[in-house]
Amino acid sequence: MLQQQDSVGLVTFDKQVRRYIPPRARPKHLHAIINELKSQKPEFETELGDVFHEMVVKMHRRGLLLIISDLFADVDRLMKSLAQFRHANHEIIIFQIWDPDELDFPFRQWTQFQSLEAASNRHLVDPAQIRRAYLEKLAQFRDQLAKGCNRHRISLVPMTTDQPHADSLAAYLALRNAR
Amino acid sequence: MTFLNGALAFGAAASLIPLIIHILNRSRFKTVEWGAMHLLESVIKVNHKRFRLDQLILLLVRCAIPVLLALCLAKPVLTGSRLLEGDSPVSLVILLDTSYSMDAVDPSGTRFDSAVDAACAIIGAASRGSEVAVIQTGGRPTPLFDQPVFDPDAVIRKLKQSQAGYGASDMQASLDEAIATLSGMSHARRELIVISDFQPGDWDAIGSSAADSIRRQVDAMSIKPELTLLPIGQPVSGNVSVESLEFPRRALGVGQQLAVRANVRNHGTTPIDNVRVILRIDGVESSVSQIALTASGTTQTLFPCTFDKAGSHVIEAEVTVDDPLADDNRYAAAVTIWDSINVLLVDGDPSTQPLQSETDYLSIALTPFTFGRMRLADLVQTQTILAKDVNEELLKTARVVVLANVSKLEPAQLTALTAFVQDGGALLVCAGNKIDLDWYRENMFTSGTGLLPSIFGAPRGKIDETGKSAHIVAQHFEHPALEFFNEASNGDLSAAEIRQWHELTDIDPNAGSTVVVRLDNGDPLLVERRFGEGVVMQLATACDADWSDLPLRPFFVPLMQQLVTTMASGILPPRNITTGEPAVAVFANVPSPPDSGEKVAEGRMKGQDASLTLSVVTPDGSRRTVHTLPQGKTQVARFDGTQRPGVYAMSTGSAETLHFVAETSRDESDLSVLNEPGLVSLSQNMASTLIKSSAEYLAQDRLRRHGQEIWKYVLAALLAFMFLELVLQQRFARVRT
Repeated sequence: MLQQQDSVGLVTFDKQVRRYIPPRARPKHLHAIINELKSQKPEFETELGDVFHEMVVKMHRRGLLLIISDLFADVDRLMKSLAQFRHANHEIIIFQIWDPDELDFPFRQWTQFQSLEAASNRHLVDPAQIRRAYLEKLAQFRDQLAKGCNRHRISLVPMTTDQPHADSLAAYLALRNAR
Repeated sequence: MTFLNGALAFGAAASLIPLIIHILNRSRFKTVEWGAMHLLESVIKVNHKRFRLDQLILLLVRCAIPVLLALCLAKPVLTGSRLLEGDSPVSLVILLDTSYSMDAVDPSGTRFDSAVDAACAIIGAASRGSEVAVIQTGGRPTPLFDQPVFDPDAVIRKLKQSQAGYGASDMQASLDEAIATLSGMSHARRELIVISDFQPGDWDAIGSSAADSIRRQVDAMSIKPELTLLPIGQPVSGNVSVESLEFPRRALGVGQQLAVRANVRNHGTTPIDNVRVILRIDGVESSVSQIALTASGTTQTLFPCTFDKAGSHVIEAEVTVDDPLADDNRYAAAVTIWDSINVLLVDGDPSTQPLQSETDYLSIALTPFTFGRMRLADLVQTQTILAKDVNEELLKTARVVVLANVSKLEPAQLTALTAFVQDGGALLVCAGNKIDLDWYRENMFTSGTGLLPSIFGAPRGKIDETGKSAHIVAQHFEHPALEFFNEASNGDLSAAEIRQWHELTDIDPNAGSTVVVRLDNGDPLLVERRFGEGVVMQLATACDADWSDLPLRPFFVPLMQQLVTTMASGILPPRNITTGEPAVAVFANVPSPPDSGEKVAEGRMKGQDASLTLSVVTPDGSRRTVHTLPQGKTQVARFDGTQRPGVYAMSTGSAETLHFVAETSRDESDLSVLNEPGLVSLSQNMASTLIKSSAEYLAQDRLRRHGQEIWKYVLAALLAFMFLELVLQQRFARVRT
């Protein structure tokens, strides 16, 4: 995009915006973005709705908003926030990142699930007992997301961590060009 | 409850394994960092309590599975509160109904075949070392072996060769015999099994009081046996039987006609037309009658028959009909035909004038053809002698002796006369004006131990006062000699005028004295008593026309004929007996060369001082040997094995064959059986167990011995729990989202 003289910016966030690099079109800007990405470590809990609400105000010019997230948040609030972007004529592409275990729930023995965002949040369960319920809940969540994105004409691209991002991205772009 | 493989029951401890696995699983968990915690939490939050409950249920089910598996392998046995008897030997008595009703044909064969099969199955399953006794109840209780035996195979072999067809069962006597047998047996565990068709006729006799008595007898035994009732057979209808043969029981001579009445009973509810009834004499068809049988009724048919030869004969009526029981389609009776009956008339008031002697009328009455110079022969042959001529030699030739107005006898004569009666002779003592009342009282009555059944008391009536005479009471006569006069056309005994008689006193019914004929004023006229093997009759009036007009009456001839011939025939041991009663024949014990076998009067034989050997052919064709035993001056043959109805032919080989006919109650011909409530009531009264088959008995016996194995049920529960575990596992995974 920088080669096309488009401006590219970066926002990292958890419950709030942690780092904001405004959009620039200069080639050096790429290094700044890459350095920022490299320096980031995931921590703290996420609150997408509040962060997106904050970002809407900062993004004055129409642009392409690429969101890379697991989207683990309240879907209704998330969709309201994204709707604001859409209202500002931003195009949105969401790359939803999944751990394959989150999709398959392949556990058999007793397992203690510890939250990535809050280490104190742990649950010891028999996975066999809750697998079906979990998968149903997951499908329900993904369906809600898909319908919401579809309603607001947002592209939702699921990606798993066990596949190269380039492959997933290439597959998406090929699909997009085909439209 | 106990276990056949007790050690394996400890495998139930394996129930801890699921618990341990559960605890280990919970303690040895892995930790996973999880991003989609909000999804997981929502599921856990909604189902938290349910997860715990489901886990508990699943854990219990999983713990139960190894417990059930261990129980199953340990083979649990229910025993109740009893100690198990295991394979301990048993003392077993089986009462097997062998009465002829057991020959009735059911759809599955005869009842007896079913009974034998059941008995063999039970005996065959007895533990090693058991002792077995089988008592056949038909006719009279008869053990299959003399002693209980320890070889069940031998019992089974003999049982399979046994037959039914015996007389009616005396169940009370059979049970008594069984209890007596059981009390002499050796094992601590004792069983009494009754296998019968349980006909009401056999078992109604055992009322509730008798059943209580049996129960008390059983309870009183030092080792109480288990009593079991096993009914065999279903009710069968449509049976036809010859119920009885009726004919006069007086002595019969060659050529004399005998009217035989056969009573044929239809036990079915459907009338049967054109039924043939055949009368056979000594196995040869004599006459045939065609009759129609009413439903559930008895039809009579009359056969006149004569015999052309003296001796022992058998008459038999047979009904030819296709019915479920053949044994009762015939009925037989033994008849003795006499060459002649020698009667010794001792005249106490002789006269040279016609009809003035004391015995003149009597002699004419007994031998009317001889006096009438007719070509027909008299059955009775008389010899008239004076009192002083009575001696032992003369008495030996006589069958019947008549003392007619005899004043008294010499002591030696009295001794000979007493011996004559004692050995089976018949004596008729007639009163008169010459008799010495004191002598008769002291020497012939002898305080009730003498020959006379009563004392000649004071004279009654007046021979000169006509119009004040007494008469015989008109009644139905029970005595066989007078049954003939129950038919009015044969004469009216009450028409005779008895002008004078002696009062007969001291008649003791307990000593066997009975009044046969009584006068209308209440005085006895004719009294009878058995004395030894013989019989004595005492007439209160004279046998001539001095004291009564009896000799002038037309019925005097048949009266005296009936009286004398009945006395002559009645002294023999009966030839028509009930099944189970002994067949007894008396032979004179006259010293003579061996094997002379000379026949003497009235069917007696000259034999030898030593025991005679006789052969007896039974109704089933088998031949048995009987030895006589001395009794006084006679040899007595006694054959006890008369349990089977039919003809028993007893012979020495060189002399005439004597026939005995054993018959039984024809109640057995009613092939109905006790219904369920009746059986239950009987069983309760006897404190017994009612079963329906030998298989049921064996199952109960196994239960008593080994308890009830329930491993199959435990295995079913195990499989059910395993299936339940699968189902629960699947079901518990479906939780609320």
